[in-house]
Amino acid sequence: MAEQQELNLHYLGKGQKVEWYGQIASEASWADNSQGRPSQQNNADQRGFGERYRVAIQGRHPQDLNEIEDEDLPWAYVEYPVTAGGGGRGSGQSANLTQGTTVKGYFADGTDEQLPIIVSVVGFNDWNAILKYPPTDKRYQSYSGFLEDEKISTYLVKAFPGGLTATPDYWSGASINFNWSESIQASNTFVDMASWDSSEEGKKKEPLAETEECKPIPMGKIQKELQNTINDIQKLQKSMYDFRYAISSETAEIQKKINKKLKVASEKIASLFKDILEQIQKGIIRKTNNALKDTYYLVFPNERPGLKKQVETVNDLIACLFKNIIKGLLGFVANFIGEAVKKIVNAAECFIQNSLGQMLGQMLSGIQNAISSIMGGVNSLVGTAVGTADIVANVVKDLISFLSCETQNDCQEVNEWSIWSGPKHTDIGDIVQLLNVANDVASTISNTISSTGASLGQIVDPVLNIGDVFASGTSACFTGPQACGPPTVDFLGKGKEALGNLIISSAGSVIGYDPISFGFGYDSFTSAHIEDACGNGSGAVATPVLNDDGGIIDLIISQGGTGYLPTPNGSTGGNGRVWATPNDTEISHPNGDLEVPIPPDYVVEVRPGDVVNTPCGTEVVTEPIGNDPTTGGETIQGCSNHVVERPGRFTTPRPIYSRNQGVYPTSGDGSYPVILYLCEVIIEDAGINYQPGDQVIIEPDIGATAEAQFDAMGRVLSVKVTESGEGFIELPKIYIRSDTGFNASLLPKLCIDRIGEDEVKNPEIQDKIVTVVDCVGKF
Amino acid sequence: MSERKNYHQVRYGTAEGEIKFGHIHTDNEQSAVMLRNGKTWRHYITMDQTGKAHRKHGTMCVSPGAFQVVAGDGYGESEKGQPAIFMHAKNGDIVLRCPDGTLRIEAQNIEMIAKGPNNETGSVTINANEKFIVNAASVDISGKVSTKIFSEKTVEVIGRGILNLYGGLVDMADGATSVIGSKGGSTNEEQNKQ
Repeated sequence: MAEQQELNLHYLGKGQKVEWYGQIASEASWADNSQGRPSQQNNADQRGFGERYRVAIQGRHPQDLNEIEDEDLPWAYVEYPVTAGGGGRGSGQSANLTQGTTVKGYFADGTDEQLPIIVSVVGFNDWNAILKYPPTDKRYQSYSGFLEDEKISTYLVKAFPGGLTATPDYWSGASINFNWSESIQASNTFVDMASWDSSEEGKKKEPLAETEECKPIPMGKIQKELQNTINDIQKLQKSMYDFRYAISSETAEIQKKINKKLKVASEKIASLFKDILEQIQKGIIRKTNNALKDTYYLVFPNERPGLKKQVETVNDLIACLFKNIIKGLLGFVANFIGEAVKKIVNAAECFIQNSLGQMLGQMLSGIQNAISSIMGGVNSLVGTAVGTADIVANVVKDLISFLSCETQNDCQEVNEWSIWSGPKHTDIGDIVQLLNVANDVASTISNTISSTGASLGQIVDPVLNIGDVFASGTSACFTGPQACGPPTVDFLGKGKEALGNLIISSAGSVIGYDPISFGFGYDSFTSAHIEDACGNGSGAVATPVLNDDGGIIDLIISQGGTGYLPTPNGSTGGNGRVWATPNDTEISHPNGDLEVPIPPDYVVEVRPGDVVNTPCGTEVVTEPIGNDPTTGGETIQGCSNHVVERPGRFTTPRPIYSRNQGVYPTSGDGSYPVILYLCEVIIEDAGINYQPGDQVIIEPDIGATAEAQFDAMGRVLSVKVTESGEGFIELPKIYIRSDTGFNASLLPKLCIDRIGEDEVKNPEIQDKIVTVVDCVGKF
Repeated sequence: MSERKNYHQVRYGTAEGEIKFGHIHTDNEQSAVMLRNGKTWRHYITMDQTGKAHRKHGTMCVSPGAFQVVAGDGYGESEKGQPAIFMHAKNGDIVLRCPDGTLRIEAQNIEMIAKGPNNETGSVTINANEKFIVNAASVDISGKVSTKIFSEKTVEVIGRGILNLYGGLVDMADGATSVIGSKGGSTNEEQNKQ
């Protein structure tokens, strides 16, 4: 062991310590020092001695890679910190070094400079230009630790690509920093894809199962499942244009993923629709048997066995009828969802009501016809027509009557859950309206089945018409994207009718609440949930303040959150996602199919009848398709919902921005100005060891002051606002400056002064004004 | 209070996985400790510090693959009856979901106990939109106050060896009594006419 002999001659500390900077050579040149996996051969098939690396030492090894290859560089061992342990008794910590890393060290053999020891690393920072592959010409350039066949870690990929890099003079390639980071801080300094994707998925709201007693007709759940599917599939479709969706979908074969999502959603929604059919089935069997009972006395005792057989047959046939319908349900629902995904952005409640009502109505019509056919055998035995005409309509009426009267007080308030955003309540939906639509549809569909009966499949299948279902769903019901705007607050609890506007700072935080209606019936279990339709903001946490009548008079904002829009910004969406930004071009086809919104700079082809909406202020002229002179040459103005007349293609334009500052908003345009002042300080955590005289600090104070009182243990008993200040535009930070106390947590409560139009123009108070968008019922 | 910042985030990781202290999620909530897989999406454990009640000081474990807990291999006879896996929601509900699969519960004995303090709670509700099958060597259904077996279509009570039906007072009627009632009539008959 020549190296050990050298070490004996120049033991550490004897001679001069020679330090160096260098770079870990390409992985191929040192990887075999380790087996790379647990081996039954132990270290017998290992080429080297564990954790050692080939290093190129600056000033000693030439920059030119052809002069000395990596395989000819010296081996360097690693010196570990005392906290890492040395391996004895299992105490140890592996080195975490990769190819291309700049390292610092010294020579164990002093001035002989033959035994380099790595002591520390000089990590990449956010500005380091980093080559994707080890350089083939010049050494000492920073390069990626990843090998060519390795996947880049999800938390190193930037959700918003970009960044600045500093490159040395001899730099010889493109830097990876634009797309991912290998900085020592990594995802501490940028939004990484793993975090972005986890949030996207984590905020998805899942409808929770409820008992039949609570939700006899799960309309709200169907709506939620359909909406989730639309969101998921449209996200996959957006992967054509959006880097983030593209990378997280992990496939270019989007259609396969879409088909899988459709299959899963079809099963979920079909199972819910089955619940509705079972309610109908239950009613029909009951009504039929009730009608049959009225004829039993007409039959002689010796005919009773025959009657029983006929009644059994009727019951069996009804059961079979529903089994057949349920059998065909999955396919129909799959087609329905397939259409919905293409044509709908928001599955509004009216859409579900109307389309499901139409679907149910078509089924009911077939069921009524089938029942008439089924009853033929009994009718001939009892010698009279058993009263089953309009049986379906009567069943539906009974259901409507039952659902209108029935109230279930013990049902779960939380019936929707998101692991990131938490609980929510999905309304049951207007089931009565749904059943009314179904009844109307059933009564208007002509009787196409003869009463002599046909096979069950023939009875039901022909009447299901997806075109009618869809037309019914979208008629008089807006299913397009809604404007993205400020958040609203929902109260989860037993009370009703509390309404109010949230006050949003220009930085996008919730800073206050302006109650419009206190409502009634709320209790201490009531919780507040702040959400905006497009999912722009997040993180606001608020607690309702109740009066003695169970009304909600205020909110204590314990977290203001971030990203909320103070006013609409021109983007559209709904159901927790942004569908289109103001930069996007939207295209819809004559059959109602919507293209996912297209960002600027993409070439698109349009056909006659397509409706094109480019960003406001833009103008494009379509170009011919190929050399066809009948195409192109059509001018499309921005924001015009232009109906295309000639085929053509164009590049989606970039928007032209112009800022128009109007007069200060007033309630006339849906917003109104307020001034905020500090009205209360809420004690979230009383802390301990505070002393009289400790000062309450408000940052920024805007003239507000407060004093705290403490108990014998130095816990905060109360905080009195002595001056309210005026003109808060953000939630201030409040804490107590104390030599002894710690851990108190205080929350500000801002109250509002509404101001008149005249005061708005007063220059002295203009900087203090916060504009509140009147969101009640709008977003 | 708005855009959360933490100047003391610490990360330790490789390409395969990382652990982070003080990570700020994209929804502005802060994690105390987060552990995650770098080679796939949505595989992480995070102990969060901020947010609504379920997030603040809550733990999320998310994985695209299975989440498995195995315990109790070291238990012996003396630990019989002790929990090997103990999950306790001190407040709030427990929700178990597998909407695309089957929930299996397997044990030597299975006890489901619902205890409520008033007349509104203390119920076990089972809904199935196809079948509810009970199959055992011996089936006892006992209602302290009442027991009903009801179907819109058919009820069959079959004792292949012996069928015993006993009532303190027995009242039976069929649908034929719905128009012309039986002699004397009965509450049962009246209730079931409609």
